Amino acid sequence: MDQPAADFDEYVRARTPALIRTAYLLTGDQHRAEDLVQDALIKTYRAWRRLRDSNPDAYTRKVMYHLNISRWRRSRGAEITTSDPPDLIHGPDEAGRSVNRLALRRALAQLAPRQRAVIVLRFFEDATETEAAEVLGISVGTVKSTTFRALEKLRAIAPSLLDMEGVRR
Amino acid sequence: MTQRLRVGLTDLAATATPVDLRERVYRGARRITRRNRALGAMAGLLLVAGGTAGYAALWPSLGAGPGPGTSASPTGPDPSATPAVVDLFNATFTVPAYPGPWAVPCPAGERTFVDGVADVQGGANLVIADEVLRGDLDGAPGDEFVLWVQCATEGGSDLNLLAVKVGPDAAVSTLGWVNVDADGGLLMLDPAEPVEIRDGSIRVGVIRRYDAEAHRDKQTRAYAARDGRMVQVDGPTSFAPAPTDPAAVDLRNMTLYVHTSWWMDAAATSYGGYVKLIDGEATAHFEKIENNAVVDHVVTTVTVTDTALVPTGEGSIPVGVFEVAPADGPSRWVVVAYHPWNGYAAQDGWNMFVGAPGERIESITMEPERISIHTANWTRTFQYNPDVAGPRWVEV
Repeated sequence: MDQPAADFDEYVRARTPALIRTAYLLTGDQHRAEDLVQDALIKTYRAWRRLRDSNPDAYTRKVMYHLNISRWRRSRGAEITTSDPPDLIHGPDEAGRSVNRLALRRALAQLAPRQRAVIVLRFFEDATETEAAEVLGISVGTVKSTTFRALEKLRAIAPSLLDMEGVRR
Repeated sequence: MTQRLRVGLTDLAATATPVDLRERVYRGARRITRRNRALGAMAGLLLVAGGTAGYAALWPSLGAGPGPGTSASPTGPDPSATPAVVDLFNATFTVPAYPGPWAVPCPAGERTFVDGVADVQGGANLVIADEVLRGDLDGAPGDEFVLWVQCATEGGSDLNLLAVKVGPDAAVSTLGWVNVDADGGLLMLDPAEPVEIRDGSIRVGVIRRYDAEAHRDKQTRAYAARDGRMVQVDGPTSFAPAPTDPAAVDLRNMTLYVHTSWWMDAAATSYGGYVKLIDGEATAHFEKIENNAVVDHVVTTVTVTDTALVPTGEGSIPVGVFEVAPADGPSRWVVVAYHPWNGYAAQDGWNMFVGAPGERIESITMEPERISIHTANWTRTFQYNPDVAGPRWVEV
């Protein structure tokens, strides 16, 4: 294996777990998350010689977000959702956390793909508005408005996802 | 107020199972390389940054991954340059009518590309392949970009070259199709020769006009942007006429397609490409083919070591012996018969015999409808077969 290939191999090995976590939030499904990361990494692989000395992770993440949005457009949301996410349970016990995860997953599934991407970028990846705009190829103003609408929708779907009010002990 | 959301996202993300995707990625990349060979390429993400690139060369169909045998990677952002400003694969710009017969399914119009694909009214698509050339084409500051674009429809086009310019305001403007004649006629590209941007122009290998007779005349032409549109600035402006008399064919001085694959051994490694022979010699880029997929482009020298004009039931057939010497391996000697096609002397020959790597053919001898091939160790004889549905020459 030549050096660029070895570098890429190491990059994939090191970064895949984090990328899958992000992809899981974007897709809500383990298998689709794996497919999304795989396809993004394939594009990174094909561009590796020009990326390896710059910022391959930024490229991969950007491709991943774009791929997910374009796939959603084509499939019009294959993810199965329910109309009402379960009420959240506040507490450290595993049963409560499972219910909360399910509620969040279902709530995210009801967001438009760009809204979901903005939420993941801003509140999971801690990206600034400028960084989120760069990744998604949209203006900072659009990031602001998309974030606002996404939070508004989440609040309407499941208020307890955002606020303490409504959390059931 | 969003702290709870942050905690929830982190908790939910942690439930994803980490898996090793390396083998899947490599397998997928290989599959894409094969697919690109067949139908061009699908979307990729190109980030256009400032800065300059003095030289770029690329073939349309190979991936640019880190494995061996890949081509140059000309599109990378200069690390010192301005951050990305335009994604050509997700942009809107005017595309002129696709050259050749594809002007009908892909007429001129403003196209919005999403992941490299633009819908065209009537069901066709314009598809940008994921390799892009970049360099100076107009002598002004800043680079121009050349995209490989396919009109994807039933009977879709090959990939052809479209030059674009990105303005300071990030607006994309089209400079026009590259591989076209002054009258707009589509020129067929040599698939093995690299396309290069060098010294202010883009150099392409072409073999004939699409709308002309099937005679090939391999050439290199250079194009540059003048007054906002692409024009030819160097190279021939016409093609040699098609010979119609096989007896007048001079295999040592014409454009031929030469390859080392044999119909009985299609899965083996072979080389193939167009050469314009002058006094029996030529050097060109050849496609290296393994298991029916192009895996590399290799500089290859072709030498005509013997020729004959063999009388047969369909007239005199030019036969040549070619030494094909790729830069990455031993020579192959091939014996090729050029049967006329559609009234013209054909330039795609029938490989009567392909020697093993390094197996030198010393000479051929001829009788009516027969060719004998001589090496240092053996002589084998092939008979003309009048059944056009079968092998044109069979060993006796």
